[in-house]
Amino acid sequence: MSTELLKAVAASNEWWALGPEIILACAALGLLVLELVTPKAQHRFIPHAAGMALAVVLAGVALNFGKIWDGEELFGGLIRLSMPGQVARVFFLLSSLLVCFLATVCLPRARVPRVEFYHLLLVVTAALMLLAQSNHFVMFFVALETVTIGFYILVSYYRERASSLEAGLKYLVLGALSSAILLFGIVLLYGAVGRVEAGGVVHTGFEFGTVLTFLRENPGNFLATAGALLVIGGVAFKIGAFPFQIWVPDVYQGAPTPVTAFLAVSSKAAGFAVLLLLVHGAFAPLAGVLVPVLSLLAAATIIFGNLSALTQRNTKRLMGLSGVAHAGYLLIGVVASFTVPWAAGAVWFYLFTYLLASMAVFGVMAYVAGPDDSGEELDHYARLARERPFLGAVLAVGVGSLAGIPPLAGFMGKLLLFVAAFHAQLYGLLAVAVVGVVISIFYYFGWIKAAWFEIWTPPAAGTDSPARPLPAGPKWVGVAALALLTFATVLLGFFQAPLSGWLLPR
Amino acid sequence: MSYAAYLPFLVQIVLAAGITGGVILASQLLGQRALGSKIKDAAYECGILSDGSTHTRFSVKFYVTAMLFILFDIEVVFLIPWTFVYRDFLAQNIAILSPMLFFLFVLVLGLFYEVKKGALEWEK
Repeated sequence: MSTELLKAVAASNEWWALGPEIILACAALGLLVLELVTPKAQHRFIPHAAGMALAVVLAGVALNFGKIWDGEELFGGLIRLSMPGQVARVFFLLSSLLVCFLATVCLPRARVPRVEFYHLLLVVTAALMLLAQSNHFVMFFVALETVTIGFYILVSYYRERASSLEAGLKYLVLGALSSAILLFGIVLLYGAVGRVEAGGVVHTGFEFGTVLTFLRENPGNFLATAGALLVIGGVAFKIGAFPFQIWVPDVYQGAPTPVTAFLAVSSKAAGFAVLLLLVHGAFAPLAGVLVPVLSLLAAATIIFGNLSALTQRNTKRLMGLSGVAHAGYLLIGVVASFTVPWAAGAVWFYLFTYLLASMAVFGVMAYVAGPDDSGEELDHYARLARERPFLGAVLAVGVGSLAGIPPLAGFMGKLLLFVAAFHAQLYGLLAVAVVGVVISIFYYFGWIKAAWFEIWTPPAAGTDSPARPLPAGPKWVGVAALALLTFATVLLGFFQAPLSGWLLPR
Repeated sequence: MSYAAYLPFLVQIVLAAGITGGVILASQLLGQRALGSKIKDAAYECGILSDGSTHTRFSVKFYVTAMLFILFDIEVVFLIPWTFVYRDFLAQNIAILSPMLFFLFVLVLGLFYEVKKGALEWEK
């Protein structure tokens, strides 16, 4: 490499543009230092420090939201700043802040070291933010692996509990498989594109822009198409789409509740951020192949998710499998975005409503769960509405929003997606989605019924009475957080402008 | 696409398979075996009977040490090229000292953390 080229690359290293990620990573290291230098009695302030760091970075990103140059490539083309990237940053920071809150509720009940959890949370958040802005397959893969390896540890965080370790091992084995598929796809693309010299600079198939140019010039290239499909397969694992969803129920059940929430919201959103980035960037010329493949995935995912969630009694498995169905609806949005440009905004709108509703539901789950949070059944909610009416109300609003009941945000999210699908003339997919929503109402309302309507059941022989005492209710921080989530869910159902004006083009 | 470019790979594969197969075949043909006497076929262990499992368990401390070794090994991988290009980069006015100092700071912080956490205490 010539020194002039190096100089040009060095000139594109704009560190301020990655400020949020760098600050988060430094804060993550800072937490470990804090643990070393402070006495043990003061360690309970460390979660607050993590939350503060996330809140400060979130405020910083929100204040500087529009102050980027859309499409600017930094670090020699590794990173590309974009408006969807900024939206993703806000999304991941908000989600991690709420996960941080859930962790302060759940972790004190288990005898585990706590500081490392927040350390990993911050590192994974920074990697998620980098992932959504990557413009180069090496950057993409490194960010994705940082996220995934962080999740391997987080899922098995209750290391003295067999269910958590089992979930971690399953996630590790299947995650490694998906990484292998993804890497194989990247290598095929790299091999197909080869080295392209333009203006004295050598481009390779690792750069998204080079892949795009190559696919435009050789639309029928078999190797490149196979590579692109394998990459999409690796991403489909992250979002839990149909043929790659098999890990979802077990991993969701075994993982600690905050980690389940993190997986359900951030990991899924990361998959969609990357999918949108790829299908509208590097793989755009392959629309003829991707539209049928993604449509098939979407239909199969909706049907599988809803049917398998029907019989679940464990709340985490229910959230996981219904989350699979939500991934299916979101995939319809991705398919629609090939012909209707604003559908990508609708996908983000849906993800935000999913974030609000899911975090509210996981918040309630955190307060209902005992020390062992993997065995939480619907029956445990039996007296929730009578003993903790506030939690019951939050649960009803959250679950109702997930089901898509009209005055709530989830309904507007689904409506936007379905209108986009209608404009894109995806009538078949629309029919599948509507059937899926109708099925989902059954199991979602079963949950609300368990909490609100009491049914006398004869005590089963051989078991103790189901009267399991509910743990202590939320303190003021918990009440404020859950109330805020519920309020936002209701508000967005009536008045979408704060979010849609920001995500959807006028 | 020209397949001739991949010829070295084919040669490599044929060589690898040929040498491995040849050695195994030669040892089959030329090696001496004592049919019907297991003891004579066993691996030579200085005249002592071999016993015990070959796959014994190691203390987890070995793995920790191995991981720490790899960490600092990688540090060297980054540091050596850095020393070679240091003057060139400075001449071109490209920042090179502060990024590397930050990298070293993070590594030293990690080492400090390990020592404090007792990862290097063998006797524990």
